[in-house]
Amino acid sequence: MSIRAIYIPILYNSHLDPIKLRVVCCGLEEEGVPFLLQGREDQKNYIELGADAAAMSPLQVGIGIDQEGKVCVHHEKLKQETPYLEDTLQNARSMGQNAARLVKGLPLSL
Amino acid sequence: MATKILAGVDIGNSSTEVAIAKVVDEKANFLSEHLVKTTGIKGTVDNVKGIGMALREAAKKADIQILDIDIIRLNDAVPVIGDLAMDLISETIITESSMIGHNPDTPGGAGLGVGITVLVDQMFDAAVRGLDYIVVIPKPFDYEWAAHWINKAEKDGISITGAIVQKDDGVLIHNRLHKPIPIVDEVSLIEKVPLGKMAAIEVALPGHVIRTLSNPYGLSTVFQLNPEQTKQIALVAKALVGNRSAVVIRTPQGEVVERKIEAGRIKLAGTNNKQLEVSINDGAGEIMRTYDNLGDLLDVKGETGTNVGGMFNGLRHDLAELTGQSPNEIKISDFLAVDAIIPTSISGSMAGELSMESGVALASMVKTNKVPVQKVAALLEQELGVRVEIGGIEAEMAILGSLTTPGTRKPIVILDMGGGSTDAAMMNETGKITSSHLAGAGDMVTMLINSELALGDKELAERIKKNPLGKVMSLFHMQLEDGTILFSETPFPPHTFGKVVIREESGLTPLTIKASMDKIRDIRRSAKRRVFVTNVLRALKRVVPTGNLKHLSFVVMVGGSALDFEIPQMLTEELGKYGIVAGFANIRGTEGPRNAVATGLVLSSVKEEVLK
Repeated sequence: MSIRAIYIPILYNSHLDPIKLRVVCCGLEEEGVPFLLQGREDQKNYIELGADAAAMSPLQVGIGIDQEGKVCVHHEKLKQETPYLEDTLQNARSMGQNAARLVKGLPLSL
Repeated sequence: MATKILAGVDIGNSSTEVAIAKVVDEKANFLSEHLVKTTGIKGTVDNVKGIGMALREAAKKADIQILDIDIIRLNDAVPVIGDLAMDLISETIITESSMIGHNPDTPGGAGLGVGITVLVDQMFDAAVRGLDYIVVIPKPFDYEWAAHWINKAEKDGISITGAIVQKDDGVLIHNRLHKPIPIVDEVSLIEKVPLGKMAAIEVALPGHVIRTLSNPYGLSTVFQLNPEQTKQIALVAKALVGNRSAVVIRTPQGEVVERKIEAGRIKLAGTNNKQLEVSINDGAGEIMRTYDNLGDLLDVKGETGTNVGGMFNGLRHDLAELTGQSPNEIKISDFLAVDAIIPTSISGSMAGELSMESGVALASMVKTNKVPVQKVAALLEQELGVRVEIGGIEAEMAILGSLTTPGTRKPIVILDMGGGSTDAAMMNETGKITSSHLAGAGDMVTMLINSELALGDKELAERIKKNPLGKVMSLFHMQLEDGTILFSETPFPPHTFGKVVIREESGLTPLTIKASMDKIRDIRRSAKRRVFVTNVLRALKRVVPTGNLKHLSFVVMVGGSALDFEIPQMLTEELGKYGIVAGFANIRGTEGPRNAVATGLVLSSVKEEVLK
């Protein structure tokens, strides 16, 4: 049996400039939680992407980012249309950080 | 058949309670009751506003008009007024700021590094080969950039042993380094870090605390100090105990001193010209023992020019203002001293460090003959157009009210625990009453909680005092104080996630302080214990004719603090040691520990009617 990889999936609209994703990732890295970036071609919005990410996440938490730079942190156990946190890429670092903190059970930085 | 409607009004330090009853012949039939916050200082005309509000509400509940009330009976407020004060008795001063000790959530690396502090962009100019350096990285520098330069410097033969970072970038930088070093991040006041000085940096592994910099001999080894210098730096070590990361920077002209503040002595004056003195530095226990030895207290004075002198003078001044007497006339009739821990920000710290200093909290009260209850009564009568009379002594009324608790009878001892004072009263078989009024109650507990948790918010401290805590562990579950887990069907909101919260009926309030749930609970419970257990024993000893608590059998608790979710249990447990059955009252079998005096005021007038 191979050990299953542990990570937070980040699903983003593939038209988005990858440079902009860097800040989300560094939020996760500082907290020491691994992540997996995946570009999506379909026209889903950030909430749908977030819900998909959470559904495929081994940690139950996922991040969705759409083309306009809207970000959400979603949890597998939440209703699809209500993500736990919503923001824009301006606060990308704290979104990454909070996704990690959600997994670790630490207070969020809001 | 004479039918009358009576209202009893009890003005307390923090709340005003009313009870309305219909009296047919000699039977009182209680219609309604209400409670409001006392407006103004107890016993002053400012109270009228609150009384009016309470009466209107109670009348509405009873479905009558205010004018239907025949007589309003007011309590003869015990003429005691209390005040609180708190001050430090020791203080650590670190001049030439030379330490950082804090707990960033995510420092980088682990271990100990010693070197000379240098700014990250000045490394190449300033560094001398063969020496060790600690780089200082202020906000404008990006983590990629900083890591790149540290790696480059390392390649060029500059030895770097640690880093101090302003942003929360510790792990990011660490992950990009070829050679791991300890990194302390989130140092908000990084511009205060002296450059070109010897410094030591230590980061512990997750779940561990630093061991070298919190040990005086660790510091003396790192900085090669002589015994004299070691003694000086020992206080820095003390201040760093329990941290996950720390930096100590040697500034040779720097100086660390623990200043024992001239806390001063207090003089207790008793009857028969008896005088005793005790130093505040001896702590609250010794002070209260000295008070015990003195017996009856006539006045207390603090040594002038010292902290305690200032405290008692402040109290005297406040009390003089409240009662309209001159400060010289004020005689302190009782006080309670309690040890307190006062977190104080260390002067010259770089990350908002606090040091736990010891202090003492004082509650004191004066007897005054100038509480103008008559004025209150007159104004109330004028405003409402209903006859107002001043009822009996407060302690007597409280006992009468308490006796409506099922399962009680004379002789009875009551404990009235309010916001400002803790009172005890005893009624023997023949109906004779003795009572005592002591300084220190619920408000003092609030003050201790506010101070020891460094909240700076009295209202929040009050809520911590009154409600149990929980810790939100995940989206759907919360751990409660007793270790059990509460499941929620709706997710807890993001601002409460991972935090310790106050659990009120109206919802959850997250606390921003970093202390753990257990720590906050311990402080809350210990504050209650220090004030109420001490005071209840003091109050009871004064009303027992023999002075021996073992001669008591039944104690009934009333008042606002008897409503607390844990104080009555604490006291039941403590008094159980003396074989006393103690519990909180259930006035009229329905009201719990509330409304004792207001109920007593109505009933006492019924008794009088009977006598006629």
